[in-house]
Amino acid sequence: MTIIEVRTGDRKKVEIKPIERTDFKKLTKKRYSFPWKEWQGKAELYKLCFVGADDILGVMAFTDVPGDQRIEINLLAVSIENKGSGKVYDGIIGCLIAYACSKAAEKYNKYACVSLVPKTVLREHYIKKYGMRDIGMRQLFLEEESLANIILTYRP
Amino acid sequence: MNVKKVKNSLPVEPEYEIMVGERLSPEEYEKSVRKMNEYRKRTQENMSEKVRLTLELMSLRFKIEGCIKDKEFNPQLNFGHFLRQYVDLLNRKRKVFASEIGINEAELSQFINNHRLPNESILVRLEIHSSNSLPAIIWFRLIQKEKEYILLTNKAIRREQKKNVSNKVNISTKLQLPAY
Repeated sequence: MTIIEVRTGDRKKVEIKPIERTDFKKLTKKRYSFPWKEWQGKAELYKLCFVGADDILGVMAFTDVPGDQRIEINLLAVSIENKGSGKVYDGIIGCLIAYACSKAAEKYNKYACVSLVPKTVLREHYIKKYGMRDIGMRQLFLEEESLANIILTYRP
Repeated sequence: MNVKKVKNSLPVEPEYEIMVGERLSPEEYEKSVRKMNEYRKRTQENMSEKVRLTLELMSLRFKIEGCIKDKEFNPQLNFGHFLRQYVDLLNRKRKVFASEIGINEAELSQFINNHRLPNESILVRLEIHSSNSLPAIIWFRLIQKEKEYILLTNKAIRREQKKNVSNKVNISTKLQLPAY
């Protein structure tokens, strides 16, 4: 998986790993928008870092919903310096969503689905940028080709 | 959960992304999921064979990669196990598949039942047959892992080979590094 350094356009290799207990000290609300520790034990938590590095660039919480053959992304955040128009790296969120998609694909084969409820203001963005399906409900989701496409785009 | 307000205009990239669950009432959430599942049911019924195969191959690849990444090797999840899954998802008879990769059915059976490990040319044939969905290198790494496991756990080979070794080096067992 790679993300793009906005200034140079260079691709940098990243990896996604489960969050460890010691990471919670680093996952401050100031830098990562949420009190992530609150999600400990409630969802699977993952971090995105450069390969071999400790600094966390993005965080994701998701829950598995086996009855629906679906993974639901509860929360996603990038570190403060990667937010908005002044961000240092692009593609962090895409990589995290693609990771959730690959987990869903691994477990649920052809029926895999990843869903989330975006903030209203970001809804169109998710539909356009990630090809999410919108059926007029709060949930947006990826399945079949759209799910495969995200994986292929962000997880070469 | 408290979340800072996002600006009204659409940002270039979403800022701190998605909040779910708590933001929907249980009724709203349930309704939303129900509608989504109804929609998915319909699309699943009309899924094309090409898309089905693509997704199943993707899934198989992730499973193999997962086994490679795992610290411990599960002997049940060996080359034969995944080859069987590959043949099954193709919906082809074993005899037909065997001929497609230039081997006979008996050889294929030996691979599937893990009575024999394939050489590199078979792995490359699997890569080509799967249109690069299952690259030779992931089969190779899986087999390496299996071989490592066999080497680590095979007591019989140690008993057998002991006969061929003489004049073992004499070291202090107290200072010896632990075995794997």
